This record gives sequence, C-alpha cells and structure tokens, in this order.
Amino acid sequence: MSQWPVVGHRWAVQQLRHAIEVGEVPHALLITGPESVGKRTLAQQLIAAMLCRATGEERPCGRCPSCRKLASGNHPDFYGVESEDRTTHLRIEQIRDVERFLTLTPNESPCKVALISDFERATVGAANALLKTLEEPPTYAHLILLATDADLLLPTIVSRAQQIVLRPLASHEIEGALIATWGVEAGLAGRLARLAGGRIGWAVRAATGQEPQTQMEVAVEALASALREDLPSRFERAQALARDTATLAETLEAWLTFWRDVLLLQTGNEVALVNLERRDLLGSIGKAVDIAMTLHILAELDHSQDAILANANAQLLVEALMLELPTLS
Amino acid sequence: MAQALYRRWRPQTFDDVVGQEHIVQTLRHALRTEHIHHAYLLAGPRGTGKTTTARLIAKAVNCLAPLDERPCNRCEICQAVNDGRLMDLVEIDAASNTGVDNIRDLLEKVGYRPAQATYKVYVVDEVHMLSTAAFNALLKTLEEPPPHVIFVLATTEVHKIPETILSRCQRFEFRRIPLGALVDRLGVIATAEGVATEPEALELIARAATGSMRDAISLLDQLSGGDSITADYVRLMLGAERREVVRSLLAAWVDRDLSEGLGVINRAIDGGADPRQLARQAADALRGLLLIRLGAGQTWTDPTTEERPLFDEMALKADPDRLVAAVRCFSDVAARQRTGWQPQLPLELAFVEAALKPAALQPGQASQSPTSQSPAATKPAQVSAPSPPSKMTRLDAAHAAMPDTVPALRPAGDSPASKRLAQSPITTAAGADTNADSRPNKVREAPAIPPLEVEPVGDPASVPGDGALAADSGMVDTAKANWLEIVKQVQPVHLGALLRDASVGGVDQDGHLVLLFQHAFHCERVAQEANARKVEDYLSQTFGQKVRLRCVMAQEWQAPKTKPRGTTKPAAIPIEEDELVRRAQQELGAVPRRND
Repeated sequence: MSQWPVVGHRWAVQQLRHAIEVGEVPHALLITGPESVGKRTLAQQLIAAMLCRATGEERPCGRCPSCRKLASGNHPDFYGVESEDRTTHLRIEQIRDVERFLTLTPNESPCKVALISDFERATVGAANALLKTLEEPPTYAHLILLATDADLLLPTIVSRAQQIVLRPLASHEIEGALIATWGVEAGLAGRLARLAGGRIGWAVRAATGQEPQTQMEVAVEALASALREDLPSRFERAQALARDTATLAETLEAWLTFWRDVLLLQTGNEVALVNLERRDLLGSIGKAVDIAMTLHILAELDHSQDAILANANAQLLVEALMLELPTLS
Repeated sequence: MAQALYRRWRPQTFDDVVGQEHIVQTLRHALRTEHIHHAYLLAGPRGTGKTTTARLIAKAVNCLAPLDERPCNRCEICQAVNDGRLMDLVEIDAASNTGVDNIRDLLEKVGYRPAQATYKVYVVDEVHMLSTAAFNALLKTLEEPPPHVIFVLATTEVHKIPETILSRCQRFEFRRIPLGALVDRLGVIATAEGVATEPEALELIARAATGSMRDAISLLDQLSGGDSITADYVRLMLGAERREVVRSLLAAWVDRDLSEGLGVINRAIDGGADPRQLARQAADALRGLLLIRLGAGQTWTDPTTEERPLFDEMALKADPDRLVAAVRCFSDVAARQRTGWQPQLPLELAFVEAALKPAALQPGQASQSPTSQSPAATKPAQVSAPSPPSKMTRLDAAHAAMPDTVPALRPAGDSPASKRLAQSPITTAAGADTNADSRPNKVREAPAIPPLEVEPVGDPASVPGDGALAADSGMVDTAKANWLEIVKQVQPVHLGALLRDASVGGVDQDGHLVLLFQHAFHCERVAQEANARKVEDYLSQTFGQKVRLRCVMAQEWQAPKTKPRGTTKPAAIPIEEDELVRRAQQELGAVPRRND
C-alpha cells in the first residue's frame, strides 16, 4: 500500500484508509485540529479516495477521470463551502446550499461528498440547520466538517459526527518531512521544525518563502536588544512595534516562545528548547532572573495576547510590557 | 454504505431505552391506561434518547398489538415506522424550517385525518430554533388539536422555548446516562457486532461520551475498524494519556520537581497527547487527591485498587490549600479555548505555577506572617520558589536583575517613602515612643507591592500596647497587604475597579476601616449607600468580623488625634521628592518645568 501524502497523523490516515477499503466511510466526519496542521490535506485525500474510480488498492489513483475532475475543481459530486474570509461567518444560506446539493442523487459516483470548512465560524442558525441532515443524511451522502476545536461547536453537532482530532506534530516529524518531501537543507529544516510548534503547513510555507519566517527572528532580536536598553529607548522601540499591528501578534508569540525557553532552562529541562541558536543569551537571562519573574512575564505576555484580540491599545500594551521586562547589564 | 452504528442501534422498544426509567415508566403507564396527551415536550442533553422516544411514542400509540405489549415491533405500523415510511408520522426539522410559513403549511394539513394509523404524530425536532412568530402560530393548535393529532416536540435547549408552549405540553426531562449503563450497552453492541473489546477500553469510551449514548456508540463505531478495540488505541484516538503518566505528573507536582514535570508534559505531547485533555486528567486526579485529603476518598471511584495507596501517599504530602490552587490552575487550562503557537505552553505554565504556589490566600493567617502572603499569585517576587534551581534569594535575584524597573525591591532605608515618613512630625512622634526599629520594616512590609500601586502609610498595627485596636490589627495588616487581591474578588466588577483606586489607611476612632482614595469620583461612588453596603458585606465575610467602612480622600485623612500615628501623605511634598516625578527624571530624563 502506498502512503497518502499526509505528514504525520498516522493513526487517522490508517483509520480512514481502512474505512475506504471496507467501504464503510462514516456519513459524518468532523476533523479538528489547530491551524495549518493538515486538516484540509487529509480531507482532500479522503474525498479523492471516496470518489476515485480505480478498482485497485491505490485510491486515490490521481489518473482516473474522477480524480482529474476533482483536482481541477470540476467534480459534480463534490461540493465545498467555507467562510468567505478569515473574519466572516459561515452563513445559513451556505448550509442550505449544501443541503440542496445533497438532496439530488449523485451524477456519476456512488456517493456525494460535501466539505464544510471553518465550521467553528458557523452562525448558530447555520449550525442548527445542519443538525438533522448531519444525523440522518440520504444514503449516498457524506458530510465532512473541518474546525479548529470541537469545544467551539454545538455539542449536538459534535455528537452526530465521528471526530478525528489532529494534534500538533512532533518536531522531528516535521523536520523529516521538510527534508524528504520539500528538499529543505537539514539545518534550516531543524530550525523551522522547532519554530513551527507542530504546524506542518506553516513550516512548509516558511520553507518555500510564502511566509516570512524571519518575522520571528526579528521579534526575538528586538526582545534581546530591549533587555539591554534603558526605558526611553525601550519606549521608542515599543512605538515602532506597535505601529505595525499586523505583526504584533506574531511578535508576542515569538516572545512567549523565548521566555518559555528561559523557563525551561531555569527548570533544567533543555530538550524542548525552541531558540537553540540563542542558548547563551537564554542561559544568561535564566541566571539573572528568578523563576517567579519568568512566570510573571509569561503571564503578562499571555494577557497581552488576549488584550490584542480584544482590541486593546497596542502601544500602551507594548509599553507596559517594556516596563515589566528586566534589565540585563 | 453501512449505516452508522448509532442509527442501526436506535432502540426500537421501550425496553432498550437506557437510563431514562422515569420517562419510560410514565409513558408506559399512560399507554396502558390510554391517557395519551396531545402534546409532549422532550428535553435533555444530546444523545440521551429524545428522538428515539418520540418515534417510540408514534409507534406505541398506533400499534395494533394489545395495550400491554405496545409497541410490538411486528405489526405493519411498527414496521412502517422502523423503515421510515409511515405516512402518519411527520418528522419536521425545525432547525431548517424555522419560519412561520413552514408552521402554517403544517397547520393546514393538521385537519386531515390519518391515512393508515389511529393517530397522526408530528415530531418537531430541534424545536428551539423556531422563530417567535412560528412558535406563536403553533400555540392555538398545540392547545386544542384535532383528536387524531399528537405533537411531540424535542429539543436540547429548553430555555429557548416560550412559556406559552411549555405550559401546553407534558414535559419530560431526559438525564445524562450513567457510566455503568453506557458500558453495559456498549458491551451488548460490541458483542452483537462481533468486535472484540477490552473492558477498560469500553470504560474509556463511556467516560469520553459524558453521558451521551450517541457519542459513545459513535466512538465505538469509529474504533471498530480494526480487529479489536484496545485501551491503548482508544487513548491514542482521544489524545488521553495513560494513568501512569498522569500519576508521574502529579508526583512531580507533589515533590515540586519542575524539571521532571515539564519533561513528563513534553514527552506526552510529543507522543500525541492533547494538552487540554492532559490538563483535564490532571485536574481530575488532583480533585481525587483533594477528596482523599479531606477524608472523602471513597467517593472518588476512579483509581484502581493498586493505585489507591499511591494516591493516598501523595495526598498526605499535599495540603488542601495547595491542592485547591493546583486544581484551579489545571482546570483553567482545560477550559481554555484559545490555543497559542506552543500548544503545551499553558499546561507547562499551569504546572510550574501550581508546583511553586505557596498556600493560598487566607486572611486568618495573615497577621502571623504578613510578608509571606502573596497578594497576586503571578506577581514576581511573591511566588517564592521552594526548590528553585536558582540559588539566589528572591530579593537579591530580583534586585540584581531589575534595578531600574522594579523599585519595590530597593532597600527600605533609601526609599523616598520612608524619608517622607521620617519628615512627618506625627510619624516621628509615634515612632519615638514605640519600638523604633519595627518601623522601617513595617513601612516596607510587603516588598511584593509596588509603591506605585499602594500608598505607603503609617501602620497603626505596628504600635504595640494599642489595646483598643489590637483585635483589628491583624485584619488591617491583611487587608493592606492583600488589598489588590481582595479587590479582585469584589462583585460586581466595576465596584472592584473603583476600589483599586483605594488603599487601606487604618482604623478610625469609631472602629471604621478607613479607605483612602486618590480621586474624588471613586471616593463618592464607593461611599454611596448601596455600594458601601456591598463592600462591607464582602469584607465582613472575608474577615469573619463586622467591618464598617469610611471613605476619605487620601490628602484629607488624618490619623485619629488621640493616638497619633502615620499619616498617609503629608499635604505638601516638594515636587522633586514625589516618587513618580523622581522616577520620570531619573529614568526618562524628564526636566521639571515651573509654571509660575
């Protein structure tokens, strides 16, 4: 058996492949997991396999008319909906479209598949509208839902679907995949894998230059210099950081990772370090600051992230953080 | 395609309905005596049997068998319902057909007599999603339908149903199905489907289902792909950890071994565990320890007999305060919805915090050791690490690390606040006839509290031989040292926000607790009758003694003349000596500018 091109999640792939083989794909599937962890890739493979016309074991074959139509987005028995952009909701009309699509019998395949992405952003009405269809759809119909977290959905939705929980990948899995599949050189792959926090999608985008991975470096660099500065220059830095609201969230994320490393070093646990190349700096901070201080800063950073989501004043926020940071001599 | 197990195993007789004896019995009795109501409302959490019961009612009222045996599941009516082809059973998805027009359609047809059966049964599922107009359109018909019509409404959210609908229906509340019943039913299904299972696996499935039969069967269905269902496979799918892992995490917490604990967490996450699931398991186990510690260990049925002594031993080593704090830390993580870049970070933080946390805030103990209290658990310099790898004392470490940014940790002697106090004639007078060297300590009594937030004040409690107020002194100390923490708990929140402006001044002649405010607005609002009452009630409850409040502006407050002691803020401090101004000059390079 050849493997599906999905990185990690072996048990999930196995389970789905087995379901395809014995022809018992559940009528309702809910795939959950953090962003960029591989939900859509897994779903697409599954759908292709379900619609594929090849008779052998190698489904999806990628050659039959069905596979080709799906790849070009023209398959009549597949229908996908998602929220229009990252801020909008999934509307009830979109769910009704799905239901309408599922009422008619299949055109050419034995089954019809609907893929609903970003289901955590469905309105209450939209989620409820799906309930009955999700529980007892027509015999040929399959529904696949993608969401970041089952806790954000109606419990009645979750209980009607078989749930597949994708968890962040271990960093060695990402490293291996980057080297083997995307041909990334070993050093970079290792660093990206540590930075990715289990999100293969992010690591791949960063390796292929679609995502500015340097942003994290810049953020850590800024933090490292801020630690040596006096207040006036820190405030100037804060002003510059706050002006760029788009990257601020990521900057805070990078700082969290950095201070987590400090905490790990202070507790004598070096295995899970992310910013390995700054080991010396981390070490000296770890010695200069006590553990309670590290905890405090981590808590403050965490707070700030919540505050940013709640539309806090970015500059005040960063300035307050700057006041909290210890000074290294 | 094969039907999902939970559909194939939908109960077809009342005997198969699990865990809802109170409902089944009532319904059976009604059927036997032919006291059938015209409208039923079935409410309860997901997967407890509402839709199933609705269909059973439809079968039973129309069944051709003798009264006692209904539904018989053999007659043509029962067969038709089972196959979903009985014309007189109308099942409506109210969540998709929410509008008043859908209901009007329905009402038009209500008048027609049943085609085949005795009763026409309308099952309106997910009824909470109907619009208000739709509900109202239903009212008249629901109250007095034609004699051949029965309505069965089913919903998970009964609080969204209007009162007028509720009062027209017989209401049945479905309960979550107990663990044992779930396990038994799963066993029956697994045997019938020819799936080999471990008993522990079934229990794990049942536990994860939290009382919902559909969740449980759905999970069983999902897992039944392979040859047999093992406990390890279930854990892999649920992201749950083995009991040993949770236990070693707890052991590390008990011993305050940070390195070991973080190691356990990271190994578990790398092995595919779900951080929140692990937090939930840890919180559960800690709750168990708490129960053992409080002598109610037998109510915690989770651990096996081999594990029990291990848990007992752990419980002995942890005092209840620590346990409560730890349960709180971990359950916060379990309830968290935002996942960050490093998914395990919240869990790691929770662990370190829980491991370091000293005894929780307890006002009663405060007077014995005011300095060891921690007003806010996350503030630096308060969480003293009992076994930190860092060898520095917390004051030295913090002092060395942040000479510029955390002024609270300066030695007491050169603090501008103490200088200010020394210049105040009243303070010196008080200091002269009392224990002189207790004063500097007391002024800096809580290095934990940055002076920017709490006004340094003379402390009445430090004056020995103070008979009248001795009883209160502990309370005042505690209140002062922990003010910000106390304020956080005050409800409603906006009142707490007002109180943040205040600090504790001491006790006046009448025994009132004096609150000193910086701003008139805050002072007036708190002093209002209703607000003051709330604060007094809260404080009285916290300290276990009657507390009366007096709100004054900080600059107006003078300590009682009869017993002179520290004032809060002498009215005229030269501007250069003000803490804020001084820091602005020193650290931000500000230059004073005179307006006159």
